[in-house]
Amino acid sequence: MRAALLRAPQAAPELIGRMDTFAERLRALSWQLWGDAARSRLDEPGPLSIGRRVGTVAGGHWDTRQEPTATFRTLLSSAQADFATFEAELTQLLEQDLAALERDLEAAGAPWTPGRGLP
Amino acid sequence: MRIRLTLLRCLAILGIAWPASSASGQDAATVDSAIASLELRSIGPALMGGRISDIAVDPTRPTHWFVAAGSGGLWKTVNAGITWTPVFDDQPSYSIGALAIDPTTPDVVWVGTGENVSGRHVGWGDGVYRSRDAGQTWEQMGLTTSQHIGRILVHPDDGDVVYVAAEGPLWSAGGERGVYKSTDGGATWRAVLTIDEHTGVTDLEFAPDNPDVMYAAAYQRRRHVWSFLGGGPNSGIYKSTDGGDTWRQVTTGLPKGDVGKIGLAVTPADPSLVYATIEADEDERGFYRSQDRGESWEHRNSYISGGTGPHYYQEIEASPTDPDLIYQMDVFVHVTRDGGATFDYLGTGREKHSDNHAMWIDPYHGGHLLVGTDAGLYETFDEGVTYRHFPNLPVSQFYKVALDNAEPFYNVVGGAQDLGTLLGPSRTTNIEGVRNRDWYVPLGADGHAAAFDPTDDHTVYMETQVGNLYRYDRRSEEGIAIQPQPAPGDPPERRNWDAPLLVSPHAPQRVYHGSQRLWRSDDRGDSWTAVSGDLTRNENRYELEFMGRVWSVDALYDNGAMSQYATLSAVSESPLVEGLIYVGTDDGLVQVTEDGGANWRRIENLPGFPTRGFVNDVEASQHDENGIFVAGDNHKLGDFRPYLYESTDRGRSWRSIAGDLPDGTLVWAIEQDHVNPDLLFLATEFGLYTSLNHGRNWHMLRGGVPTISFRDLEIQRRDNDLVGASFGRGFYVLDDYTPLRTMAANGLAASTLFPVRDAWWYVPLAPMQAPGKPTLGSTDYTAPNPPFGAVFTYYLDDVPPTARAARRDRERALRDAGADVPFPGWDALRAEIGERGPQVLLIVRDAEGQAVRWIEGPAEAGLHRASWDLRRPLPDPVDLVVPDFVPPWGGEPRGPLAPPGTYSVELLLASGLRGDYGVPGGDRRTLAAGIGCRREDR
Repeated sequence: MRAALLRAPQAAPELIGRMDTFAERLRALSWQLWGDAARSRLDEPGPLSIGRRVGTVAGGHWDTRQEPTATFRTLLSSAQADFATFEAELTQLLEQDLAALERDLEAAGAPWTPGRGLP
Repeated sequence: MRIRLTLLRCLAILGIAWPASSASGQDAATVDSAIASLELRSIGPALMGGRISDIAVDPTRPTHWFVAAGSGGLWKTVNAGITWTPVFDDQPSYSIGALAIDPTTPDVVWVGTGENVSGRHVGWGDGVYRSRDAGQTWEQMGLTTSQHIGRILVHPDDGDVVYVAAEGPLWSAGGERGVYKSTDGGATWRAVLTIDEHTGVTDLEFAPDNPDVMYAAAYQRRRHVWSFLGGGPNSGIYKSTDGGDTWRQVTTGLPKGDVGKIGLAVTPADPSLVYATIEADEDERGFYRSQDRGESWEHRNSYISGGTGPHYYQEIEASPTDPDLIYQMDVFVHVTRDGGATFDYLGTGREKHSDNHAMWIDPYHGGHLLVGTDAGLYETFDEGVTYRHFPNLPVSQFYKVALDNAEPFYNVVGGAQDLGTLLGPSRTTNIEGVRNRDWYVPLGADGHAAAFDPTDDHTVYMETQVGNLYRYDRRSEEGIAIQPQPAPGDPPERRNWDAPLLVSPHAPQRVYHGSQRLWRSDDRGDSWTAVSGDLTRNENRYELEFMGRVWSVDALYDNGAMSQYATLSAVSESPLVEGLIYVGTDDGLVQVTEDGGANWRRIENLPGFPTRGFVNDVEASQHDENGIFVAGDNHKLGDFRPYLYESTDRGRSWRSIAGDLPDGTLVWAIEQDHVNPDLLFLATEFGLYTSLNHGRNWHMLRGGVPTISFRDLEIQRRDNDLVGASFGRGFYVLDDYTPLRTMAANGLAASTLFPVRDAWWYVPLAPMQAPGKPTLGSTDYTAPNPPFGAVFTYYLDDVPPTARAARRDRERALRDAGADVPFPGWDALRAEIGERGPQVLLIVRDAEGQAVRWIEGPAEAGLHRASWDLRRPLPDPVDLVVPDFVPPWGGEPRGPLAPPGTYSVELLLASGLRGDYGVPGGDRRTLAAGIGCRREDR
C-alpha cells in the first residue's frame, strides 16, 4: 500500500501519516500476539505475548496425559481474555481503519495492491 | 526369567574400640595422603560422550588416534576406538583446544590447553604441552597465560619449528595472544603476530606447497557474565610469506565492518586456494574464497555457522583431494561441493548428534571421516550417510546432580551440557557395574538443575536451559512443563541459563524456583506464587562495558544461546528453620528472608567479593539455624580466586573459609555433612575437596579422579555417599565417606578400623551370561560397582619393616656415611629367610563369635579398603595350578553364602616375623566394628 501511495500523486500528504499510524497500530498488535521484536532481537525477555502463553501451554502439555496445571489454566485464561481484546482491536483496524485507508487510496488513484479485492 | 532377589541388609552395631589420636597430632601431609587414598568411583555414563574439541590421527599408524575433549582431557586409542585410555589426567589442565602430531616424528604430540570455543561454560588452560613418547608423558612448554589455544601447527619438514595460535583470555584483556613461533621445539617462543590486548588468533594454516606462506585468523572477542561480544574491529585475516616471522593484514574483498570468528582452510588439491568462513554483520558475513593465496577474496555465500552462535563452531575442513569440497562445523555439518557457492546439510541430522566441532578427513579415503560433537566422537565411511558412535568415552559435562532414596541403591540424575538430563543408578545388582544401558535421558536440550521428590522416587524435577522446568513421572515416563509464569502486567521474567531449583526440606510438595525473583509452589509445581520482588541489581546488560567501553547494540553481540542477566543463581532453605531462605544472584548479591519471603534483606558485605561476582552456591547450615555458606565466582572477569564464605548470623557478618585452598581454585558448590558440622565438601574447578575442620584446611579427594572441574556435589544421607558432578568426566561417587566423619571428630587415629556400613546381601546377576565381555566386546562401556558385600576401611599409621628391610636401611645409612657395614650374623640371616612381609588380615565373625572368613588387605601405611563378599571360604581342595586359559563360563571359585545374621570384624596386622600377629608395637588389642544383618525382599 505504501508503494501504491507513492504512485498516486493526487493523494493528500496526510495519507502518509495515516498509513504510518496504521502500521504502528498493526505492529503493536503484532507484538501483543507474538512479542516485543525489539527486545527479542537483543535476546531480552519481554512481556508474555498471547502466542507465547498459548505456546507455553501447548508445548508444555503436548506429550503428557497429566492434568493441565493451574499455571496452564491461568495462562490460557489470560491469553483468551487478551485475545478477545486483540481480536476486537484488529477487527476495528481491518474493517474500519484499513477499509477507510483503502478507499481513500483508491480515490486518490493508487493502483491495485495484492490482497485486495478487484475494484 | 526374572529373578527375584533376596536382600540382606547389614547394620552397624559397634563403634571403634581403638583409641584415637588427636587431629592436631597429624601433619597435613599425612591427612592429605590418607584422604587421597580414598578412591572415588566413576559411574560414567559414556552413552552420550561429551564435547570433542579436536582430533589427531597418527599418519603412520592409522589406528592410533588422539581425541581431545573440550573439558575432559585427552584420550588415546591404539585400536581405532575399540578402547580408549585417558593420557592427560595428571596434568593441571583438563580443557583442551588443539592437538597436533609432528608429521616428521609422530611420537611427538602437542596439546594446546584451553578450549578454542568461547562458550558460556568453557574451562581455561595453562599453555601448550608436548609429549615425546606418543602421549605417555608430558612436558609443559610455556605460553601459560594464553588460556585458550586455537591451533597448533608443526612445520612439515622440521619438528622444532612450531606455531601456536593463541586466542588469549576470554574474560579479560592481556595474556599471551596472537601467533607464537618456536624454532627450538617449544623451549622458547617468540610472539610473531601481536594485534592488541583484546585480540588473539583462532586459526592458522600453511600454504600446502610452501610452509613459508601462512594465513592467520585474528579474533577479537570477550565474554562476561552479562553478555558475549563475539567480534570487533580488529579481527581479520593476516598473511606471512617468511615462515611466520612477519605478517600483514589482507583486506581486499573482505568485510569492512566488525568481524568475529574466522575459520580457515587450505587444500593440497589447489594450493592457491584459501577458504574462510567469516562472522560479521548480516551484509558482510559468509563464506569467502581466495584464489591467489589470500591476497584478494570473493564473497561466495552468506552462510555462517549458527545455533549456539558462530563462536561455538566456525571451523572448516577442506578435502585434500577435491579443491571444491569443504565441510563446515555447525549445529549440523554443512558441506559445499562447489567452493562455497552453495552449501547443504551433510546428511539428515538424524544419523548422529548435532553440534559439531572437529573433523578429520582420511587422506586416503575421502568418505571416511571422524567427527567430534557435543556428544562425543563419530566415524563414517560413506561421507555422513551412516555413522557409528563411540559409546566408551565418559566425557559428559554435568552442571548439577541430585539423588533419590531408592533401595537397594539410589539413583543419580543430572543435567548435562547439550545432552539433556540423564538418570541412572549409582550402582547395580549385576556383576558388570553401571552400564550405558542403565541410563536414560528423560529430558533433552541442555540439562541443568534437577531434584527428586524425597518421598517419591518416581517424581523428578528437571530443567532445560533458561529455567524451563519440568516435572517428570518415572512411571509413565511423561513430563509436564511447570515453569512459573508472570501474571499479566508483571515485568518479564529473566532466568539464568542454569536456573536454581529446590525442593523444600520441610515439605516434599513445596518447590522453589528462581527467575529474578523467587517462586514457591506448594503443589509440586502446578501453581506458583512469587515470594519476592526482583532480588537482583537489575542492570541492563547492554549498558555494561566490554574492553573498557559500552558498545552499540549493533555490535556483534551473541547472546542468543546464553543466560539472561540479573537473575537468581542459587537458592537454599534452612533445614532447621522453615521459611529461612537464602538466594544468590549472578550479579553479586545474596538475599535472605526469615519469613518465607514476606521480607528480604540484601547482603553485599561478603569480604572481598566483587560487586558483580557470580554466586555459584548458597547452602544453609545443616546444624546451625543461623549458619549459611556461600561459594562465589568471578572467573568471567578473569579472576579465578576462591570466594568461599560462612556466616553464623544469617548473613550479617561473614568470614572466609577458603583456608588453604590453592590460589586459582574457583569454587562451585559446597555441602556440609549432616552429622559432623566441621566436615565440609567442596566442588571446585580442579577437583573435589574436603575439610575436616570447618574450612581451615582443605584436602583434595584425588583418589581415582582426574584433573577435572566439579560443578556440583550432593550427599546421599542414608548411605553416606558423596556424589560429584564433573564437567567433563561424568559423575564420581565416594562410597561411604564416614571415615572422613570419624577423622573429623577424632583426628586421624593411629591404626584405625573405621565403622562398617550396612551391606546389601544378594547374588549379583550375570546379565550377559558370564563375567567379562564375552558378548558385548571390548567397546562396551561399564563403570564399576563398588566391591560387593561389606567394605572395611582401615588406617595404618605405620607398618613394621621386615628384618631384611630394616637391615638394608641401616646398611644404606652406613654406606652413605662411608662407614663399614657389619656382617649381620647367621641367625639374623636365617631369620630373614621366609619372612613374608607385613600382612593385614581381617577376621569376620558371626554373632556367636565364630570365625567365618579371613580377608586379606593391603599392609602398607595409609588408608585402605578391603571387602568381604558375604561368603564363607572356598571349600574345594587347594589347587595351586593356574590354568593358562579359563573360559568365561568357568566362573570364579567361591565359597557358600554366609547366612543372614550379625557379624563383626577384627583387624590384625602381622609384622614381618612369622607368628607375630598384632598391631604395631606388639599390642594385641583387637579393633572391632560390627556388621549386623536383617533380611529384606525387593
